Amino acid sequence: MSSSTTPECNCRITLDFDILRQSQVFAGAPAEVVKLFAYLSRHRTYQPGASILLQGDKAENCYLIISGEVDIITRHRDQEIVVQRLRPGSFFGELALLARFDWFFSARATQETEILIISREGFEKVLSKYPEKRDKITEKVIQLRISRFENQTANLLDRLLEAGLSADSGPLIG
Amino acid sequence: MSKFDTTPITKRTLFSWIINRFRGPQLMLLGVIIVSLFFRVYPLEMQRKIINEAINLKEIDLLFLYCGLYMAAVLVAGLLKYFINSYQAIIGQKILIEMRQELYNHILRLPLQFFHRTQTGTIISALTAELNAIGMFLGGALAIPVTSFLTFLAFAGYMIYLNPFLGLISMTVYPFELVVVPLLQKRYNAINRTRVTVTRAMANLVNEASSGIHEVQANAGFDLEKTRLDRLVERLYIIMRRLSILKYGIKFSNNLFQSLGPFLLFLIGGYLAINGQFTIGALVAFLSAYEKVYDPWKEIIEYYQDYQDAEVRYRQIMEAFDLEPEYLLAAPDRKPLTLKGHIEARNVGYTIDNTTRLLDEVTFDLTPGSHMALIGFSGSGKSTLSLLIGQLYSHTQGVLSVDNIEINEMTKLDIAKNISFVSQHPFIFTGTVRDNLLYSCSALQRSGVLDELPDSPDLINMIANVGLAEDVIRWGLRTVIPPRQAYPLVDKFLRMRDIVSSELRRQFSHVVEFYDANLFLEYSTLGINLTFSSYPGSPHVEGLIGNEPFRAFIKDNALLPWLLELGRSIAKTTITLLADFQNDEFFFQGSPMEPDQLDSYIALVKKADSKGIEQLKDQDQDRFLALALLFTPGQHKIYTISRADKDRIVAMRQKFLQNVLGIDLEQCRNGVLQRTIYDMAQMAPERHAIFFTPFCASQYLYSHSLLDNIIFGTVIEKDVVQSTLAPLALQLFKDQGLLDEVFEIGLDFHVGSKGDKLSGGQKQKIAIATALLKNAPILILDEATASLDNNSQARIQQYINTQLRKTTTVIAVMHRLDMIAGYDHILVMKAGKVVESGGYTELMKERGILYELVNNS
Repeated sequence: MSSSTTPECNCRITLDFDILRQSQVFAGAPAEVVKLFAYLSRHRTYQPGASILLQGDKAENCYLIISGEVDIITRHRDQEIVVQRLRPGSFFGELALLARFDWFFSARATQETEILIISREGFEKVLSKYPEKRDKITEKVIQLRISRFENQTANLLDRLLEAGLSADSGPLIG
Repeated sequence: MSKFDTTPITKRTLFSWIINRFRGPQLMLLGVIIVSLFFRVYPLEMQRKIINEAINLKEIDLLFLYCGLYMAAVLVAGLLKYFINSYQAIIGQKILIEMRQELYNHILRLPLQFFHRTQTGTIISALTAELNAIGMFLGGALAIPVTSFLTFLAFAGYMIYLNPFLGLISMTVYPFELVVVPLLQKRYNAINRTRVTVTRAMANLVNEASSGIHEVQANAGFDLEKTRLDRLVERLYIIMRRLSILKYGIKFSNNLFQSLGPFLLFLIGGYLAINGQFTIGALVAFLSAYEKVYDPWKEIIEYYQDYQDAEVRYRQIMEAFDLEPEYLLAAPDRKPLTLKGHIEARNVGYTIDNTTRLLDEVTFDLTPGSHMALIGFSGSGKSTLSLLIGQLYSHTQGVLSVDNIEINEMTKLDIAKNISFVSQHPFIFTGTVRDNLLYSCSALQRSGVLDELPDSPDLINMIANVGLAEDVIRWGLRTVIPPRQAYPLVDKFLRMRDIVSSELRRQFSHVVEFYDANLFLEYSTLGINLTFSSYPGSPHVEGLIGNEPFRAFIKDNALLPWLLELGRSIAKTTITLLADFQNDEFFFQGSPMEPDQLDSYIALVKKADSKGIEQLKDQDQDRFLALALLFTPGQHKIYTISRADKDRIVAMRQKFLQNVLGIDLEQCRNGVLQRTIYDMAQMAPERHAIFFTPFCASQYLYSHSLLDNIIFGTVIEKDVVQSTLAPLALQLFKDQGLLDEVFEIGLDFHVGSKGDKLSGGQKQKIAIATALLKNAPILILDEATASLDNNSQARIQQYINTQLRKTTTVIAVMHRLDMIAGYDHILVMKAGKVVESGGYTELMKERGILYELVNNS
């Protein structure tokens, strides 16, 4: 990283700048934009078992795991199903940056977990200053969502197969 | 209705307000005016005498005498004029008070439909700015024309007395003006009326945009709104342009006529004087009189303009509210009714605009104390029916009665005394929770219907009944309790602090930063980190910077240069990162600088860079010092300080506590510190000047909220702490015997403007409690529990089913079908008609519409 793109202050932004710079969504975005996101993001530490977000609540933030581990859980027919387990460097809740909705899953820390939080409000305020960057970042968010979807589907199918469902026992969704 | 006038307020003329009110003061004013006339004419006579007698005859004594008399008369005339002006304004304001009160009273009692179609902006501007303009006119409405007319006569008379011929000639110009000016004025009035209408439309537009700001911003409707306003602005411009042209046209014609007078005077008067038929003294007096005669004339013209203006405004205000209230407030010949609550509807219908039928043929009979649920799809008319029973709308067909008295024939007080109404979106008034809970009862008490307001135990009981207890505790926790109220409870609060500290420290370690004299506080300002105290104005630093002992301390310990440098660095990084975001406060959450300070800090940094920071003036240095002392590492992401710096601050803090405040650190931490002196400083600040109150374990922090005091630290994640702590605190307060005191504190919580600090559920619970406290024989609930969580709904339903059974007639519009089983009677509605009516079990057995609704939901 060249010195001209790094914030040259003695601030905590530097650390988060580097983290965001290497993340899936913000890689390739101009330094000044990433710097603002780094400035507006905040850290929060969760204890093992602590709930990070709850299915049904209003989605306001996007989360990036810095350390620890997070379970993504869906409630279905009054049963909790872990659909994915995420490790440091992963985003979740990134759709909250683009739209208002209620969470369709819950997230819970499985161990002591540190998370970087970006709010939709901050995201929108920054991009209203740099409207020409919006398309690129939106595209990245959607790509991330697609890979997450593929991943979760594969994960579920694996488990179905392991549970004894053979490939020729008919369509899963019908 | 006014004691002066029985005509409806909106039908009265503007002058009826003046003629019928404050007659004594107005007569006195007239008397003073007449007296003042003499003192206005008298100086003219003196002028004549000074020239003709004193100067001509060279009599010094007479000169002194006449000059003295002249001055005295001028002085008295001036003083009287001063009195007349002020007294007139006072009378005007008095009339205005009555006008405003009566109009407001009238407006509040207008039918609901009026408020649906009238913009709030219209009502507000009518009652404020527009009435004010009329008030200016009112006071002088009688006095000014009378004064001006009499003054005119007096001066004109004096002129004729001096020389009848010349006097009459100089009067001849006035009749011309009497024709021209009113013509112009008439045109002016017509345009002025449009101006009022356009201005009002503009107020409505702005009001609408600000009420609907969500829609505007969500749809980026900025241009749309701007275009709408632009159109009006453009029209207003054209109107104002024409008004100015006319106004100054009137002025021009006045001036022209005014200068015609002296022209004639000099021509004819000069001729007469040369021929010795007129003395110089008389000519001078004549000139003065002519100049003076113009003043009352001008006043009459201005009065005429003001009158037209006020009349236009007055008519427009009164026309806007020209509606009759539907119901009397109280019956003149009897006390408000006391009803049992037997409600009967026979073929009730409700039609609006003569065509749209919202309710049709509704019939039911409800005995006192029984409970009825209204159910049906939205738009079925169930809510409308509840509003008819509450007399908020008036049914148009059939008979709707309580205890066989037609509801449309009852007065507002009859209804208020006997019916409690809770709407789906209750309105919360700006004020405390207690004010809101007592709203209905206070209104009844003022009308003389209720003797005593519910007392505190009643309120606390009701809080528990509607499930508000935890909320009230939460509000209590957020309150900074006034010292006198907190002092007697401090021991118990401190005991709770001990309990929280021993039981919750571990659980809260990630969401609360506990105060500890040995640790750096990431979520407190550097000012608090250094002093480990609360001080006047904390966490703001103006007071701290001005505190001598503190200043001496940072200077003596070589902290000042470091803090100044820190302040400069923070200013620099903030400027670099946020210079483009000056208009958005949001971006400044991570810096101790305020957005509006940015420009001045840019200049300051420049100055410091060129001169050197030590060379700056004290007040400039203080601004860098303020940034440094406000800096809160955990919150202000813009900057960070090293571990070594933090350790240094903690070391300095300990030195400060020991050397400046004289505190033993061990005692402070262990909670055995003598705290009387700090408590005394709060209780009697005039005798004990204490600037710093240290964060010692045994010290109650009077400038902090109860929550901060019990937690004894800074809450980092409010949501977690609030949800965990409120139920726990409820139990702890109970154990400590503090529950009632904290309830009292919570009840005094200020709900914010229109209750914006409350959640939808809290508002509904308060509204239900308010209604129940009135203890009326009839309770109407219009989906009153819709925004509550399941538990709260069930709790309130349970209370209604058990506590109000047989005592209160309940009519509830229900959206949850699983809660209707406890009702005696169910009315199923569809498209404005009753489609099923009967008991729950009976209807379920019939397997009709109710059965279907229940099983499909």
